[in-house]
Amino acid sequence: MIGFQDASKYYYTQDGVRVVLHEASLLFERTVRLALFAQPGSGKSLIARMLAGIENPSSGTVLPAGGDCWRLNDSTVLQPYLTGEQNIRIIAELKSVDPDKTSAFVMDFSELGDRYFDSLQTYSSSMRGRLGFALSMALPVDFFVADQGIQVGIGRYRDKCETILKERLENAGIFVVTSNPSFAKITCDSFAVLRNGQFVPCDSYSEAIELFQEGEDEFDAIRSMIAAYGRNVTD
Amino acid sequence: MTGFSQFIRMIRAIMLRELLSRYTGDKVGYAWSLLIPLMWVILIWFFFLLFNRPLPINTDVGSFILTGLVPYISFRYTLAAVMRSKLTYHNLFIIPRLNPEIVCFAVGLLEIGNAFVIYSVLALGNLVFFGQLEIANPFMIALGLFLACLLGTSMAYMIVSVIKNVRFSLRAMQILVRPMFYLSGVFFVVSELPLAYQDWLWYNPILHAVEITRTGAFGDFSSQANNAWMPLFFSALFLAIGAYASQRGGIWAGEDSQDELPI
Repeated sequence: MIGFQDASKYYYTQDGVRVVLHEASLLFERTVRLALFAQPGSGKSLIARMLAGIENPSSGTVLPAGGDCWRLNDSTVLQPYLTGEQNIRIIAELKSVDPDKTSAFVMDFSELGDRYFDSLQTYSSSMRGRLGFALSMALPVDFFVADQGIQVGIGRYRDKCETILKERLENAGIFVVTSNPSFAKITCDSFAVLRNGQFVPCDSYSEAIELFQEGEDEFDAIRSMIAAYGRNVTD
Repeated sequence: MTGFSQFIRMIRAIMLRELLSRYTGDKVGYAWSLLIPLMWVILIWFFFLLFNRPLPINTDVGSFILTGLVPYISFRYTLAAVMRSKLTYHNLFIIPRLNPEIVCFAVGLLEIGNAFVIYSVLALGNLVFFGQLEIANPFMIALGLFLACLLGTSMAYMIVSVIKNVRFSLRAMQILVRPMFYLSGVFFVVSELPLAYQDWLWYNPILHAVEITRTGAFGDFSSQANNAWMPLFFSALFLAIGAYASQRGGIWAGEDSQDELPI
């Protein structure tokens, strides 16, 4: 089992302490395809990072995915001063897989052409996304952690990504934390919603959507109140 | 694949990543790591001339500054490089068996090589342009540089393990390290100082690394502050504190929000 056990996560901002999780629990098997719906600004990245094992909880326990886990589309592992090829080869070495095969796959799948040999500093965000996604597919991974989006590119390239991801998920699990539920509909079969620092497991996608939208309405109401207060203060 | 060969592959990959990423972006490249110490040598030389500073050792100004500055600057370079690695490798710790200790080890190792290159090139420059070369015991010079880098690595490991907030740890490092420039024998040798100061400065491990380098360079130079056990003791202490803090998750673990950091 992996997941969260009475886990709390707080972080500090100029406005005070923000609560991401408060004694929250959610345990699941590594083979699961689970989507967690969370409002924007609720700490999605921190939750994903904790499950990936690169962020500690403030208290409680996180049982990280460990093993051959990888963050889907993750381009933060790439060093901007290096070329695409250098980055991929170095990560392949660190993962102890064949750098030639990994690099050849990534170059082919990302369709970056000669730009694959350019410095990442010259890449657009979509090019980085392609490189990050291709790397995720090239490595031996048995559990993916996705922060927000799991789709890359547009049109034919997007279809290609969805197809290979579906294939990979036949032998791998995934945990998607997102504020855009449509992303997870086709990929996941288990759902939960993050509300007030707690995980609320749901029996179906529609139940999760309903609960998530309630939260969105509350979020909108709070936003309107803040905006109205701001106007009153200005007046 | 055995654990050891995997370890070697990781070390090699980290060193390559550091080398490729550190000196890119302009045409000067790796030469920056030589130009900066060279500028310091010239600047300190200028001050020696300006204040008509007599040398405490029977040697040329270049060799004297070189033997003080390079160990100190190697310590600073290593400290900064290992601390920076916390930012640049954090997301890669998703890779099984890759951990902060391996990254610190690899970056420290690279900096030791870097220190040898810097010292050799500057010493060679001194020979070519001024006909001066002081190498009485190459092993001692290498030991001094090694100890300076070891101190930098262990101190950085301790700081990043104890203080999880990277920005805070970088500021703390500056406060801790800045006075060391004036206290580590870059401009003087210990025997020049009043006895009371000598006793205090004896507890500065970087001074020992500097004096060991000087002992290796100048055959007739002897110092009471060239005990290799001193930097070794401090390095072991820093590593032990770092390992303990790392195991406990650090003091300010809650503030370690990597999302706010520039990757």
